[in-house]
Formats: sequence, C-alpha cells, structure tokens
Amino acid sequence: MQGVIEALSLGYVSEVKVVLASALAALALYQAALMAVGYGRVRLSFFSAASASRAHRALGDTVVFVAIFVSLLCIGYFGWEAEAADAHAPVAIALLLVLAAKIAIVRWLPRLSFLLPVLGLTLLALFLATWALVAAPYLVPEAQ
Amino acid sequence: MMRQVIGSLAAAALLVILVVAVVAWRIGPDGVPSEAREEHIEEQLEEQEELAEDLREDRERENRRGRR
Repeated sequence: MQGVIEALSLGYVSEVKVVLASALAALALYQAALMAVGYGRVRLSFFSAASASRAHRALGDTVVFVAIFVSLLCIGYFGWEAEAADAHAPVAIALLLVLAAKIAIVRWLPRLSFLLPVLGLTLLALFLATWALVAAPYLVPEAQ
Repeated sequence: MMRQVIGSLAAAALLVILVVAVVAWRIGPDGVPSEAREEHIEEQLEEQEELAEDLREDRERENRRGRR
C-alpha cells in the first residue's frame, strides 16, 4: 500500500495531502456559498437557486471522492496508530461521519432533510478545522 | 439552467487550480517537513556514519599492519 501511495504522489505524500486538504477547504467554502444561493439567502440575477443546488450536488460528489481518497492516503501511508496520535484524526473522523450522515439523508432519508443546513454548516466547520490542523502549519509558518 | 450549472462548476475548477498553485508556491521545492522523510534521512545518515566508521577502522588496521 505504501509503495502504491508513494508511486502515486512521486514520493511527496505530505505535500499531496496538504494540497488536497487546501483544495477541499476551498471547495467547502464554495459549496456553502452555492447553498446560500440555493436556499435563497443570497439572490443573484445571473444564477438561479435551482442551478446552485444542482451544482452543489454535482460538486459534492467530487468532494466526497477526494475526501475519502485523502483519508485512505493518510491511513494507508502514515498508519492508523500514527494518525490516531495526531490531533487532526478525531476531527477528520467526525468529518467523515457527518459526510456519511448527509449522504444518507439526501439519498435515503428525505424526511430528515430539515437537518441538511445544520449538517452542511457542520461539515464546513470540520473541513476548515481539518485544514487548519493539517495544512495551515506548513503554509503559515507563524502558526507552527 | 444547464449553462449556469456548467459555469459554476467551471468556477469551482478555476478555484481549485488557483488554490493548488498558491499552495504549491507556498510549499516550495523543498517540500513540507515530514516525520517519515526526516526518519528516512536520519536512517541514511546513520548508515553513512557506520560506513565511514568501518572504513576508518579498516584503514587503521591496515596502517597498524604496515608499521609491523
């Protein structure tokens, strides 16, 4: 597994992790902005609420795929014990659980769809927290 | 409607490209300090030190033999 991950990242595993975590944090902010339009909190003349919701759903599938890929990359390369000892692990696990809950509600439990805005905002906070714990120390030296 | 969806997805792609470029620029060519890499470098240094010590001992032994 480690060999495959190293080959995929050309040996720059931590760098790939930092770049992907940053891209995910940016996409989480963008997703929140899309749903602000989708729920009608923000009205734009050139962008309808239905289009924003549809784009949110399409982009969400990609975000889920990349988030799962980064998680597998972390656990597969650094090992479960090393990851569990790190501060970002509980936040990342919570993120995956909330993500799973959100997908379950969207696909199979529409009765609970009133929870989606809360879950979405929680996801945004968890994506930003994971980024702050994983990537920010490398990008903002003062944060180390 | 489809145009708007495609446009917003294109904007997301541009955002990702921008973030990747900025993060790659911030990381720089040396990469981030990684524990795994540091361990690997330490192991390599230890191996080199052991090799250097072995060579030194061999040379000393040969010198002693030469004096006799």
